Amino acid sequence: MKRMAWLEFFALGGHGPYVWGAFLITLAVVIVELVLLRARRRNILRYLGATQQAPRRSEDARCRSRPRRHLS
Amino acid sequence: MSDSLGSRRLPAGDWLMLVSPHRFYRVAGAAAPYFVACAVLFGTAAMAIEGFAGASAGGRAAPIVFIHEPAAWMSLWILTVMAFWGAIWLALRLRLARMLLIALAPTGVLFTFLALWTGSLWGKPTWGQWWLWDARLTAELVLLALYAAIIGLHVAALDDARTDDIAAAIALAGAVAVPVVYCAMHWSAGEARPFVGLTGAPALQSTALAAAVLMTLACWMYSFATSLARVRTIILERERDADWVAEEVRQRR
Repeated sequence: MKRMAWLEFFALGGHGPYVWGAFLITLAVVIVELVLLRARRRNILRYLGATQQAPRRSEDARCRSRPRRHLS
Repeated sequence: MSDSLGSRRLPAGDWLMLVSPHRFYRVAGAAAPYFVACAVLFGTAAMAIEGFAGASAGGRAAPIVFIHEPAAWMSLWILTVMAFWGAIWLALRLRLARMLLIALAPTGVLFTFLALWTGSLWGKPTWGQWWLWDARLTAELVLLALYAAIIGLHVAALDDARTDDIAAAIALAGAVAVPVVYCAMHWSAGEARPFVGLTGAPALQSTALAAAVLMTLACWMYSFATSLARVRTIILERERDADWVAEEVRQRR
């Protein structure tokens, strides 16, 4: 009985593919946006990290996740 | 040009000070998580009310409208907000205005795409057609083209003031022209194509209406969150030569 109910839930009276398709495309779009957002931010941070001319000071010890760039 | 912001807290009444990209960078960073939380809250509430077998008029493919309608609203609303910032940029030349315009564009294009795609997914089972060249759908397609044009402009040529002028002009033209067409369809829409507008939703029951409103609010909060996050990145990109940028980056990471 329970399995029947689940199948009906997914089928949604024959409209299943459309409704679930809509749900999935929404999810995909949100994921794409968030991924692109992160990539863009990482890009600029990497660019800024690479072009920083400031001498390394002890503050660097706080920045654990910052990529190490060897400028030589 | 160094900024003496330091680490002091922003006074609550200094709204005009938000015009500075540095301050806005900070405020946006602090505010974005709240918008994310609101989006999740509203979205979950909307889904809980609607369920997946919600009682709404419009056939059993109705749950799609639940996504389609907020997406369509956001696609319109975001272009309007972009036009507002475009006008501010053209009139006052505030750097932050053009940054916000650019920041909103990707979110807008994604919602427009979603509105078109889910609209087709709704149209096929309900009326048997994937597409129709009527004013409403064509207007949405035009909207997609406008968004894509604004994004394409900035992919091609980055920091030019003239690029931003063109982008602002596109946004303004779109915000004026397209909603007019869209609203024209509202008055000519009959029973066959229920149109959920600000003034009423004749075909939906109250629970479904509550769910749709909540979902629209969720999308709105989500748009706030993503565009605030994006404008922070754009601020870093455009202000990269400023002293405060190096300091912020070093502190955040």
